[in-house]
Amino acid sequence: MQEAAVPVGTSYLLRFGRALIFASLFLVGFCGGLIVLNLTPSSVTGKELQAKIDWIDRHSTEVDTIFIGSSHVHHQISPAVFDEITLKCGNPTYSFNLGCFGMVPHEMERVLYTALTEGKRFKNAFVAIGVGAPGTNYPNTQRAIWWHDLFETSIVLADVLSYDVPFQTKYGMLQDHLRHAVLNIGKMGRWRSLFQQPPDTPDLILEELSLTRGYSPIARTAGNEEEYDKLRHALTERMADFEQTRNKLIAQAKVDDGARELTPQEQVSLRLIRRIVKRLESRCDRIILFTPVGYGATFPNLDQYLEGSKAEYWALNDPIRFEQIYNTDKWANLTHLNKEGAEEFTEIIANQFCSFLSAGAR
Amino acid sequence: MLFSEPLFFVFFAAAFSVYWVTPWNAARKTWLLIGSYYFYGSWDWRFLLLIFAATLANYLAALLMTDARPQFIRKAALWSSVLFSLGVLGFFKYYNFFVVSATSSLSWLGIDLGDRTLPIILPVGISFFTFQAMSYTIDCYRGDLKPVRSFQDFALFISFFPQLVAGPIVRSSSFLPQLNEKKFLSNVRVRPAIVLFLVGFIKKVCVADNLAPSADVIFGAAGDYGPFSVWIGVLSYAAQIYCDFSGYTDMAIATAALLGYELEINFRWPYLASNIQEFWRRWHISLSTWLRDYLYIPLGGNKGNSKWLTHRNLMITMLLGGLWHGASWNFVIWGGLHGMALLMHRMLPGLSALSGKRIVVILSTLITFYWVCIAWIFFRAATLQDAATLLQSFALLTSEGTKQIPEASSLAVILAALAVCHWIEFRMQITGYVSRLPVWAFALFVGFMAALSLPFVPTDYRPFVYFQF
Repeated sequence: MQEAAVPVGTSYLLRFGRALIFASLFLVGFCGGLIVLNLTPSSVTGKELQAKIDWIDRHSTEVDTIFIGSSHVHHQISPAVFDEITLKCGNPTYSFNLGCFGMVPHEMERVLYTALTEGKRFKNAFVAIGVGAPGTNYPNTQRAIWWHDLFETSIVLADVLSYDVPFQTKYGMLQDHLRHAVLNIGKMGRWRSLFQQPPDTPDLILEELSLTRGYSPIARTAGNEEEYDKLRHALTERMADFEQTRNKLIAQAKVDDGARELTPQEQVSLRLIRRIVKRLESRCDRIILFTPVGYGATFPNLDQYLEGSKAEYWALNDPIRFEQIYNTDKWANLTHLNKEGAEEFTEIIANQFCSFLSAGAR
Repeated sequence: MLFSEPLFFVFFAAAFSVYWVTPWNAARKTWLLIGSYYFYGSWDWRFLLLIFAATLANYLAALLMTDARPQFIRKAALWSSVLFSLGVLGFFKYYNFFVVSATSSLSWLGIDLGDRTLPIILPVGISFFTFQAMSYTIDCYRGDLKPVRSFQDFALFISFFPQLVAGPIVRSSSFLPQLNEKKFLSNVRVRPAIVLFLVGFIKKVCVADNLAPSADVIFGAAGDYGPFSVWIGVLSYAAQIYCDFSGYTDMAIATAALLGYELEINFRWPYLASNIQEFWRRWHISLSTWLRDYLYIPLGGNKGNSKWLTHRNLMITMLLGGLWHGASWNFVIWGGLHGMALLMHRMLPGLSALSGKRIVVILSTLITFYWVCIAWIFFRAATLQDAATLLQSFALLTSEGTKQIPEASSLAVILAALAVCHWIEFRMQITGYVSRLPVWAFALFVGFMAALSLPFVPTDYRPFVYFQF
């Protein structure tokens, strides 16, 4: 046997201890560097979303009602229609659609934290909620990197860890979030931003947002006929899928009487909802959580979990109550309403809001 | 697996920990060999067969070259191993090049042979490990080295992962004895190795990879840009290739050092060379010394009275040195341009007499750098026509193109700042001061600098330029 190559008397434990101290000091230095990096001007999210955040920032004294959520808010809620109805029912509002396509719940939480800074106050906040995986949409984009700050990443990682999925899926999700967090916190690849102020949203875009108030319907307009017809064609081609989804929702709505326990997935979503509500409570008079048309799942009896808070929950994707909206003429594709459907859906929300107020809501 | 990828850090952490925890040298070498084969196989497992075959052929050939054997057996063994190595290199790297050159020449004479090329994948680092193996058998034949008995040792010499894919080309005479030395972690100069790795990482990832897009833009649309942009593009490429290759080498040397092995230095401030001969003593030193010892000197070198033969030997060496980089006439011309400059340098010895004066040193350094940049144009351009177009803009300042490279003036400032940093490091050796800091301050400083380098790390990985060679 060969002679051992380790000198006699050398303690591995001592060496290990020294290495550990070295690594700890390295980490301290590394964190110090990260802190210095993050003292530079804050990052900017994707163009569309940043424009909406900037718009809210400039019009915070005028806006009293916001809608936030994914494309099911962005494409499906018209602030103009909403304000018209609330005016008629004697509760005038000035609303803005802060929805953005592909916005996942954790991104929404981050947007709310940014949009609702100190001093801003809204009368009504409509928050679209659903049961979804704590994942990321549009990976590696400025937008996805932006919301993975230290705070939101720690939340989403905790949510992933308690999410009930196979280990491999969970590992993939963790890796994905950590990668985005590293890109965010280390400002990777963004050395230019260290030497520049974040760009302002051009006035032209802000003016356009004043007209649309953030609403972007899926409609057949001059210039996009072909694209729209393609979408519609895809819908009619897959009519069986559409009807199957609707029937599933009907069946689910019948079964979900609120008696059952929340699934682990729903519990993760519930934690997030509670955090959002808590955040909004100090900034908004009324918080309406709603599941918009186009979302597959509905929370069973969510109200019982929100007792003691300002929040109200409306399941607006109920195909039994809102049968008229499930007519395919009102849909642009398998999951989104077209302009006509969106405006009808907005009317449903507005009318429900008026009834809610007249019933003496908080 | 790239040195700059997170996966490499995981791999190296495992390799390093198990290596130093293992108390026996033989077991450590086995572990390193397994790690090296894993590292190489991570590109394509089929490459492992090739490296194994190259290892076995050269190992057996060297065993046949012991002094006791008759001369003809020794010679036959040498030639068969050299032919095997060159055959492998020729097939994988040059087959398509020569076939295309031959068929196009024949078609010019009216003989059409059709497409005879083969879909060959170039194994990563083939030029490096082939040269390394060849130098071993040649040294054994010359009697400069005793053939190594342990196949494991020889296999580790060929496949040692820190330098396997892009050098430095390690000499068996310096590496093989290290395999039998007892190694102690306490003897490893950890701090200088960490600094060297960090410097290499910053050169590669933060500098080379950020300059690459500017160079790509210019070399991708040769005729579209004006002379100023072409200058920026070419200078960006000069900085990119230096930082890329020397960055890799720094990381390779540092990685090897952390495992207790010493690799020879491969770069010594090449762009500060005041003449082309000096440049070649500072640029890719392991290749230039290899070419000197195994090609230039066997051809006759500068011995003898005939200047013509010396010049011929020099030119052949440089042309083949160019061809070593890749199967393209551009590389041959690149080698030829350096060969021409070396001949000029030899033919005008009066220039050396002036070299003591500061202004002459500065001027000759600038002229040398300018010539090196001209040669880089051929090295990087996709075609000879592209190279000619860029050369026109770079050398004559005339171009039909009017486009401006994005952020050209910022790039000019960045390139100037890099040149100043390069010079400051040359004069003051700041990295040396960092290595001598007390351990606690060193750990904090390196951690801090590592974090500050992150914004300069692009989000997409670029392979090292020399991997293609």
